[in-house]
Amino acid sequence: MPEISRNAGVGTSVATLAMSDVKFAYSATAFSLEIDQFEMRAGERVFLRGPSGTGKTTFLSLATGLLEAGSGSIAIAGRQMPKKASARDALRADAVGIIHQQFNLLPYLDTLSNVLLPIAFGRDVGTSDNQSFARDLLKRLGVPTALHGARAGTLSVGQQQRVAIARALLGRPALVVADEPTSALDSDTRDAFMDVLFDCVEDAGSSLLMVSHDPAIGKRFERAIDLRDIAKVTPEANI
Amino acid sequence: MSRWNLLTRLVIGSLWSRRLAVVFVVLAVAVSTVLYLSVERLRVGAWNSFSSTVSGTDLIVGARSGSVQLMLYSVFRIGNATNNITMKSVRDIEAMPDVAWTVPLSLGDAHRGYRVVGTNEAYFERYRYGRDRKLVLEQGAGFGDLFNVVLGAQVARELGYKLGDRVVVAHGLGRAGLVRHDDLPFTISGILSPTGTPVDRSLHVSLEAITAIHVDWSTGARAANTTPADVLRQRAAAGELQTESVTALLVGTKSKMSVFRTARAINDYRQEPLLAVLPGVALQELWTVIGTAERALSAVAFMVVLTAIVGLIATILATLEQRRREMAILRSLGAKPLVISGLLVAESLFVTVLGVMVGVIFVTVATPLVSTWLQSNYGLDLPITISSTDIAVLSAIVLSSIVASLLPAWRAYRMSLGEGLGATA
Repeated sequence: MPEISRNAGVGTSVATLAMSDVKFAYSATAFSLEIDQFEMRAGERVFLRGPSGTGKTTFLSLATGLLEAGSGSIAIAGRQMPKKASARDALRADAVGIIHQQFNLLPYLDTLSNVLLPIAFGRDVGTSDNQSFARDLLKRLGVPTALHGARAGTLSVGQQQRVAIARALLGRPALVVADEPTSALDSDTRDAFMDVLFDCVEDAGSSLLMVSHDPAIGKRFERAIDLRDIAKVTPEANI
Repeated sequence: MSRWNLLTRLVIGSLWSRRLAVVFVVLAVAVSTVLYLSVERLRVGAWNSFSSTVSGTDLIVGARSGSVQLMLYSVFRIGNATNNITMKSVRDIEAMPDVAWTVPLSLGDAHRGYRVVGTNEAYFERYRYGRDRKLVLEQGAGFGDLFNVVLGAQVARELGYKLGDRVVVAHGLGRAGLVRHDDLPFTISGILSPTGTPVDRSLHVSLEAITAIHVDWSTGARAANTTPADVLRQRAAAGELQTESVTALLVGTKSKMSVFRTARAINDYRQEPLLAVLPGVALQELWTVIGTAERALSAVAFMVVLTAIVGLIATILATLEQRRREMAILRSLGAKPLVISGLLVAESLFVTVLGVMVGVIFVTVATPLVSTWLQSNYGLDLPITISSTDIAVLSAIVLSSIVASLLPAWRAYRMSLGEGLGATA
């Protein structure tokens, strides 16, 4: 992998993710979420657990700027989360890689284009030859060259995971967020997936924030916290 | 890979993944484009052929009435003249210094609903239509005998006539001609090639023949003892069957510069109230009356185009809900809501441009294939190239698809703005 260190903040004291006094409420339901203080050091791997319906996905949506907090401050790698939706999107495109629950590749695009997709929305890879960069990344993740031109919809689940990791790590974002990426996997493939993910995150110097309700994975992380310990959650009212 | 390259792949890949539905939308746009262009071409073709129903004639002269009426009976052979022109006036006009030639037309008789035109050989020489096209005899020859008739193409085709057949001319103009000149039948000596003009619907005989069949007539009824055909032939040869009047006169001038001068001279002619009109001007005037239908046709064609665009937008709106997850994924990768809207606009733009292109290609290929047939059967002179009006309308189609796609784009914008990470699951 080319030696490019960007956005990673390795060796600096700037927190990868810093949230304080964040308040959020869905207007439609009574659900609300309040976070007093949460911080992630650069390169830190944090496991966030909690039963379903406790707002884990909402927490990630706030941390990545997909949802707008009602009040409080969120910063990613020292950059304050803007108020404007398009500016939040720009920050996410540049500094956050997301691995979804279903891996969420676009089935009609080929593997390589899927990996390169964040570039379309403003991620800076730091090299003009982003194709060979992405190919190297895929090869390192064990996706053979023959599959780089194949439509993502034709890949196996295991291959899709790896492509999803490559897409999230393209350009070495400061923060990689994974939302229950192992929920659809059995324990063997889950462990293999975690190995690869940890390798890549370490290599890129990114911080990893992973959410899961599976406590077995938590042991592998430097820090494992329960969402209820850092946030005050008012669940949806049963109407 | 560049941003734009990736975004293009995204649009085309997404469309390709829904290709069956997309093909039908492209088809709808293509069909409406074909319809619009065809109507437009037929419209222009209709005007082209109408405006050149008579060409090469500088002036049409008749008894004083309206110019439209004069055109209707002299060129289109519809309706009647209020009055005739005396031969003295005809000779005076021929003697005018700027007049190069004249062709007399004597109207008033019919054969099974088709007009009989009394004229002379100069008619076949001087009458022009379309882009200076001459009348051509498909079969036979002109007036060899006093009782020869030359048929227009449609008359021969519709009534199943061939050379040598006998034709009886009716006095007056009704299809059920009350009184017939059945004592003096005509022999078909020639049949003209199709022109797509009223000539196709006419029967042509010599002026002397018109005089001859009316020799024994007075006040609309035939005398009891009629003159035999051979006697009339002898009298014609002796120059005794001189016409006393004609209905209209086609006039050619020596130069285009003298057309107005000649027209004025004829209109100011003192011995008889005459009217000289410039065919081009009169045709234009006539077109404003009958051109309404053509404008309505255009409007209908444009409506069809609008329908296709409405269909396109309906399709995009219908798929929006199913594509919620796709849009949420793109947003989680950092796509701004405006970019998502832009992708939808690009999608409808792509589909419309593709549809319009398919339509244009189809029309461009098809027009030359049918234009010859339309020319010979209906006299329609189709334009075969895309006109600037066409380009303007096609641009309007593309533009309106962009405007229309702003609705689903706006909806997608609203949808993706409030969407958290949960929407990607």
